[in-house]
Amino acid sequence: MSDLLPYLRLFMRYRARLALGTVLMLATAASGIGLLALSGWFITATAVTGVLLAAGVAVAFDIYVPGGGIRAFAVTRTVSRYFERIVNHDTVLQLLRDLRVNLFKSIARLPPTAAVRLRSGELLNRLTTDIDRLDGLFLRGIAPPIVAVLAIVITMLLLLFGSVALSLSVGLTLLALAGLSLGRGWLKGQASTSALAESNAQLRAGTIDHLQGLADLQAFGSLRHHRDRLLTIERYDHALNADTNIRVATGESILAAGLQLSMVGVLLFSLYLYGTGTVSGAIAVMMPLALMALLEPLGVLPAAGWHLARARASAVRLREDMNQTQKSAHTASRTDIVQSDKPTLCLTNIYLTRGAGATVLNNVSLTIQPGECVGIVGASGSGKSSLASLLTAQLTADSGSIFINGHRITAIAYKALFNQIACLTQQTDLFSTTIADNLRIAESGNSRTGTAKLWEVLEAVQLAEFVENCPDGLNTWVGESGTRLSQGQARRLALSRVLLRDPPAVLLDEPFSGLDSKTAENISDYLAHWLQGRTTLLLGHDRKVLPPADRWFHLENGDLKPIDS
Amino acid sequence: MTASQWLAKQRTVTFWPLRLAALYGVAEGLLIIAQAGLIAWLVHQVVMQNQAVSNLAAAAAFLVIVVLLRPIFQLLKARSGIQASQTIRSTVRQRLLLKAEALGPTGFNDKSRGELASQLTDQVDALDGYFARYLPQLFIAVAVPSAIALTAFSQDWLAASFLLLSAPLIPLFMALVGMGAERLNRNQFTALSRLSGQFLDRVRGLTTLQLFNRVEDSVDDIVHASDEYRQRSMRVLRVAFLSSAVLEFFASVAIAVVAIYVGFGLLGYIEYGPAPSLTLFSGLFVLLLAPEFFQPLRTLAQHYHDRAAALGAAELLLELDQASEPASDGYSPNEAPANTAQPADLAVPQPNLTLEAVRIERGEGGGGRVGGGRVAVLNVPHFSAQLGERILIEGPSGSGKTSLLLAIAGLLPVSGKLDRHFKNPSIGWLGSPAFLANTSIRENIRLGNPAASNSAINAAAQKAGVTEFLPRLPDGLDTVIGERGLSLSGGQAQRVALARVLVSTAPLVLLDEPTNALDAETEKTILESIDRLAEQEHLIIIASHDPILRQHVDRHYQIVNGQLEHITHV
Repeated sequence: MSDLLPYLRLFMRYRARLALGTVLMLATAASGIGLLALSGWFITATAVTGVLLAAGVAVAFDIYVPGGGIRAFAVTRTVSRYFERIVNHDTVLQLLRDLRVNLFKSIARLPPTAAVRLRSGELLNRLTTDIDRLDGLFLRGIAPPIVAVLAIVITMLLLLFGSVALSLSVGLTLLALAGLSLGRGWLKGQASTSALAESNAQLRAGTIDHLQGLADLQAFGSLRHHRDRLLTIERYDHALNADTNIRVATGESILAAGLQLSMVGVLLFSLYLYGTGTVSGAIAVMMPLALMALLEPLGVLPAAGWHLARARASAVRLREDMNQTQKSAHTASRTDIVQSDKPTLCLTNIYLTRGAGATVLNNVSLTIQPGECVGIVGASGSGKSSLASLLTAQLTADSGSIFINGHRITAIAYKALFNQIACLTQQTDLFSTTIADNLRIAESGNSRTGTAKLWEVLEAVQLAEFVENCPDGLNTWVGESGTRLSQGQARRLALSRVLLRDPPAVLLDEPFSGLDSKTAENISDYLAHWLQGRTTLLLGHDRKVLPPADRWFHLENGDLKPIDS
Repeated sequence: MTASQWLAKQRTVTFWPLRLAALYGVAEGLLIIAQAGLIAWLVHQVVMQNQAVSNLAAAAAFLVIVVLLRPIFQLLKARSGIQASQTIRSTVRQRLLLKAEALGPTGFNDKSRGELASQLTDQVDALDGYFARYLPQLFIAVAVPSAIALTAFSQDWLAASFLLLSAPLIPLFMALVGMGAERLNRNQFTALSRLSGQFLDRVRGLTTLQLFNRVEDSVDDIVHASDEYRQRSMRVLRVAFLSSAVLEFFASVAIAVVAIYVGFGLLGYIEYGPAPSLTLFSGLFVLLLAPEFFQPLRTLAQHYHDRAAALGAAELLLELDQASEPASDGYSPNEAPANTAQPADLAVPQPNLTLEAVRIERGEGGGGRVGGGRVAVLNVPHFSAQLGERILIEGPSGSGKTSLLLAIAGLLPVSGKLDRHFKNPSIGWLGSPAFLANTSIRENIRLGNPAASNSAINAAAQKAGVTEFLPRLPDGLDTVIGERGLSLSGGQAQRVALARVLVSTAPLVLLDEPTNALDAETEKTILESIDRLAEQEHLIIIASHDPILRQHVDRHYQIVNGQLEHITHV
């Protein structure tokens, strides 16, 4: 449970609202118990009185108080349920916001070297699943046991009409039953939840492999072999899922059986008490009916235990993911400030290996003079992007040093570094927001860029016409839930962001990937002009499709060799 | 076909589990009636007839049995539902997987590949609740209340009519609940997915945010988006919850009305109809049945989100299910290409591979048809080759080299005559970039020949130079690679893919940019392997723009203006 503590602490921020939600849940459960118990009491009491009246015995029976009580319970059950849902969902939505903000804050603290890992599909996938599970922690995991205990206490109070011993013994039995159900769900959940996550991830990875490797698999004639492997994973995943679901269902059945048996026990005992004259017939009926109404608040306990186990596993995984991501980063103090109109970028004797010891950069040295434009060409995978990552502190070299304007890059404060250098990364990151907001990410400081400036950079990358024709213009929503940009359009939008940034030093990694040659040529002409006076590093696979540079290099097998012009 | 029609069609693959789940649920409902009757009878005997509890042991025992049987049927219902859902999901997944295979490697581009993978995993699993819970409950929600109403009717028609009065309202409830839940789902889920989309793309794009010093502002964005989402969805929820409140209200009021009617009747205040003949037994019986009358409907309402989730998934799955497969004059990519019969005249050796007036259409830049865009054409007037030959196909990037290899492999539909005469239909393939599955290196090599022995795999790993970097891996050949494991460099990946080619028994080997972005050592291994494979009577066709390969081939072709042309060596 201690793994969930940070989240429980987060909940404490909303303790008043959560308490209100819990009280409303309890009011719903109590009204349910009250409605059924009072109705049973009422019917039995009227039956007994009715017989006496028919026999001519004069008895006074107040029908209005219990009748009113029944009607009141009927209304409070409905009303409290309605408001319980409203209050709790509102709270859950606030928690959802806090969870995301907290997670993002801890992610945001990661140094750039660690942030790169977050691009991986699997890690992202895990983050989504885990945060979704934590969203349901309160409503499905924590509230049900609280309500169950309180409902049992109410039932115990009603059973006091019979005897203290009855109330205590039944109450303790019910509490034990509830505890066992919750505990069983928790334990079984602990056992299966990580296996489930693993088999699910395997199924996903296997499916992606199958689609990605379709050409290879079909050519080699091993399509069936791989499909069989995939289906084996699927069967295992299904079996695990079914097993878990059946375990929860079994828990619910055991709980229902225990509860119903207790109800029958109470029924027989209270009828016996009636026989001995200890209680009235009405009370004898009321008591078992109170137990009957417990099925609703207690029935969800096995699933609640399971939810708790899952949420805990998610919390653990989130923490581990964050720790591991953090581990890959070093934490030296970065205080140096660089500020220059035309900074010098200098790499000396850089060695870099990746994966299983493969050399990416082999003693690479390069100095880009202030205002100079250097182009490096090489095949994809030759290490060009690693150079860009090194210069923006997203990667650390195995040995060698990088200096920005004479300052060692490891000592420069990130903020200062990124104010000096703007980088168009090889991967295009657009955010699901408007085109204008996607551009404004490049704003420095708090000044809000006017639309004229936005149109200007869009014009430069030849996107202005497209944006003009979008229904909402600059406010057109892009990304997952909006207009989908083509690869080339997205690339150009990312490029225009760098233009808007107006930095002293620029790194452009494959600036024209996904663009047709005509557009690329036009933008290249503009860039040639724009890059004048900026310290620039151009990276690409073909110098013909890059803007002109002062010097060209070829990167091959980790060696950087100048190209004679 | 609409999404709901598609969903309805899927259930036909399984017959008994779904029906059994419904039947077990109905059986449980009947046991509830029996339980209510027994309780009412016991109470009546003791309270009204002054029987001692000890004399009613038989009825009590019967009650215990009923009470214990109920959870058993409840469990059986759950099991059958789970089984039904599993069968249906498995069938759907397999069918869609075959469908994706039939679309072929060029049938979808990178983006739709990700969507396809999610359809085959998440979306198929989103059907679970609909089949496991919702569908059986749909039947139960009709059958059990009917049985309860009938029973109540036999006890007191007036009390039963209070329940039945709401019966015509039940379809209305369903519609109300349905509309409410549907709206709730549509709004909540789209808003939530938009919200988590926004959150995730900020996580994914963290590098870019850092590069622009915008990380702190993004926190505000997330707060802002979440609050907006909360306000919007609360507006919807307030209305949506009303519909279930109506159901709740009727259930509560029915109990209250029945209790008060029965109470007044028992007191003799009601002269009308069956009221004078009410007893504690019949009164209590009907009272206990009243909440159970509504319970199946309430359960159905709880499962309504399963239906909405399934409908959402069905819309996407339906699209894939109905996607048209490529029509091909050449080989069907679905099955191993068949061998055309050898000609009778063996005196003249026949070339093993012949392309005659072949025309290949493909998406611009080698992308898939799904990606749309312009269509480029590659014409091959004549091309033939036989075992033992090494052939290089050159051309600028995007000219269709890869498409030609795909066509030769029978993975891209073409028009014209494309014949392959090989005893062994399988083909050695080395793509660019090399494909690596998320599994061990050993299993990755085995994909070249599923029947390969471990020693054959070891030998291939040795020849391809995989063994050279094995000592640096934690589990040697059994090290899991890919996103879920260790990442290999481009050169290392290329060696694993080469080992796959070497372990294969395929006589025809197709290599796409085999020397692209490689270190000198890996390049040497690749070139040596090309020569050795040719000596061992393989036909090797290489698509590349790397001039170094010219020294390792016998013939040399070039793609010029969408046409394959033979180049004579100078």
